[in-house]
Amino acid sequence: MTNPMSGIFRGFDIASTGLRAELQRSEIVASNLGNMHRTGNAEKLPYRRKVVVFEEALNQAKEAGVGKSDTGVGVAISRVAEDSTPFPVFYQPGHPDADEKGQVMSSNVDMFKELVDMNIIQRSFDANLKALKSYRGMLQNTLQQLGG
Amino acid sequence: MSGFDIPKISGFASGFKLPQGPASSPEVFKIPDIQPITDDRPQGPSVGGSKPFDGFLADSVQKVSDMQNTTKGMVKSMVMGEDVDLHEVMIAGGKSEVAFNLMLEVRNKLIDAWEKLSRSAG
Repeated sequence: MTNPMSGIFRGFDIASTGLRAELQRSEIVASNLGNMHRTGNAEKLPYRRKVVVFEEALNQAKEAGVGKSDTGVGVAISRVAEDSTPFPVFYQPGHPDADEKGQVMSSNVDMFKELVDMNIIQRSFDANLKALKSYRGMLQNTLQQLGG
Repeated sequence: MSGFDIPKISGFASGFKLPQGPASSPEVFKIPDIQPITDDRPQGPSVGGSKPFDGFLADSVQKVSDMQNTTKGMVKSMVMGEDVDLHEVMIAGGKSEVAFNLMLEVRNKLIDAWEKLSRSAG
């Protein structure tokens, strides 16, 4: 296998990191939606919404100061952070997680926010795919029109 | 001065000398002895230097073949249910497609060149 981050295939690899990152982000959103109803109380905390933090993946050679390319090598997920929004508290005395005052803490996931996020992720994924398709089309067109 | 003045052609005298003497003289068209071609190319691939073209072509075919094998392996692991990203599989396919087309074009150019040479020789 050739060096994955060099040559005419760099565009493929950059778009690939974007696709991978968006997929991981959508997995986190799915996890948020899945755990949305996990309740809790003061002792056992409910589910805390997770947020993905992206970072630019820089060229290793450039970071070491020996590279000549200014192009990054795509995106990477630096960490999965937690949303620090306070948990909403409801009064539900019959709930198994209710404390002595009948209060239940519910997860700080907002379903509508997550659904909008999912839409954004889908569009971003499509954008990465489109970039990949254009890149490939440019290479193929170069071969078809300058070759032969 | 009209517009049709042809500039005096010069330079022939220094660069090209017509053979002096009678045309039948054996000295006139004497061809210098042909020296055998010596192979002074570096043997095998060398760092930073050039390598023989046939090796280069074989290498590139091998690399394209490797990429296609990688794609094949990824498709296989995909359908076998291993943890492979779908987009990675498709991208590997795209890469090997572009690489194969590039190799094909280089090969076409080579065949073209060879045909032109063989026509001009005949």
